[in-house]
Amino acid sequence: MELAQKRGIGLLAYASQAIHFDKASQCHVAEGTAVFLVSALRCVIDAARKHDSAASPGTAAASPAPARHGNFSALMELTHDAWRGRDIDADIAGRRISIRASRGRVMAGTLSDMLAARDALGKCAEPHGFTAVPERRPGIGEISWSLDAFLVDGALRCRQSLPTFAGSAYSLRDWPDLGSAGETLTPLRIASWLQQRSGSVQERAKKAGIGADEVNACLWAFHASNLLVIGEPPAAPAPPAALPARVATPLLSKLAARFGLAW
Amino acid sequence: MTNHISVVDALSTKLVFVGPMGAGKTTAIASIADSPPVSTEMPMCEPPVGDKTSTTVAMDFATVRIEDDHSVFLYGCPGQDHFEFMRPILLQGAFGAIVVLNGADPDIVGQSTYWARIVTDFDASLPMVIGITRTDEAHQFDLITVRRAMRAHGISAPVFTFDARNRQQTAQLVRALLLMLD
Ligand SMILES: Nc1nc2c(ncn2[C@@H]2O[C@H](COP(=O)(O)OP(=O)(O)O)[C@@H](O)[C@H]2O)c(=O)[nH]1
Ligand SMILES: [Mg+2]
Repeated sequence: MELAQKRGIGLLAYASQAIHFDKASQCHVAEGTAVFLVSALRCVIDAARKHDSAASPGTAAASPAPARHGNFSALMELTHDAWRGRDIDADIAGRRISIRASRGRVMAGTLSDMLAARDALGKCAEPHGFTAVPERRPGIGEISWSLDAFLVDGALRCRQSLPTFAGSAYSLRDWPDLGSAGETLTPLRIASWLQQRSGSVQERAKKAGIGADEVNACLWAFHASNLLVIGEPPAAPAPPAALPARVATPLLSKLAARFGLAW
Repeated sequence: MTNHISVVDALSTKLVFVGPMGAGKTTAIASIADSPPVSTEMPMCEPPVGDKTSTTVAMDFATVRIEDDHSVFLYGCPGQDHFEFMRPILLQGAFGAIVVLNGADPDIVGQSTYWARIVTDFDASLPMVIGITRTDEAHQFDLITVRRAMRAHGISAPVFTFDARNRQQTAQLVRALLLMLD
């Protein structure tokens, strides 16, 4: 490992003790779920590739400055076992926010801090940017928002830079709190499919014209919210014929269209 | 402008808002309706909540037109216990119920199971969404404990925080309800 560090070779260290690396192509994971290992590996490979192309003459000026620190985006970091579901004070792109996962809330001193942190969830997490705090510790600031909405809006904003969420069988522990999400339709539909546990969410999204990157972003967000159950085979869907239709189908689709949902 | 609405359609497109007084039912209905709700507001005889000096004593009513000759009927149930008899009357024939609760209430956990149970006791299979207002003001608001309490009562309805004054946010509750019907 020391040799790889010295030579800057891509490295994934799997250890319970935290190890800090300076290079984006070297990272540490404490959690051994397939999802996490695969995404960590992708991060390492992507960073190593970026490093290679930046080093080759002619491309250096065009490529974005390589990340100085950190191995993961803030969003990915939040899906880590060390942080997921925990109360933390976080520094995201220089903005202080309080994630109170034990209450499903996020707090900030100003609305602009809140929105800037949301928009920076796809950026590399600052080293030591997260601090676990005891439950019931009041959050900083007066602005309070739904943690689920914060994460899903932030994840959709950086959806193009997120690694592919591994696996194919997921379900939700609870409905995410999407009442105040700025992204109104896509996360709601994906959540409802995950709740129904009928078939692949990716396939249903494809049929509905929802991009694979949007599904991917929602999965990362729901995982960061600690709502996603991974690897559980979808249970047989509840028999739909048992209940009489409450609204006639043509009327239901008109009603849905009236509220911006089309099916 | 007059609406021609058949009785069958009237029964199938009824959406009912229930919850304690001051939670935001009338505000929520007004946010998504085509025109201001017809409400029976009266001075309160119970201790006031915040600066509210009137509340709905009988019910709210408003419509959302979905096509030329179809409308969704929105009903707000009166919150006070002595109007309890109104609830089954209004819930009868609804395609769903939206429970509106005040997130600033120190007993929000007890309130959420109490009001959700009113709906499930009426009809356990009636699609329901729980909407919690004023979480912007309530810094100790705890969604996770509300979810846990709901689960302990066997209720799996979505629990959303929202601002009843906001049209988009109120519409999210209706969207979730419609997706449950799909
Ligand atoms: N601060 C804040 N006020 C809200 C929110 N939602 C609703 N309100 C206010 O709460 C009050 C609710 O009153 P009303 O709709 O008459 O309640 P009802 O008795 O349930 O019909 C109104 O003054 C709304 O403006 C919210 O999310 N935040
Ligand atoms: Mg009212």
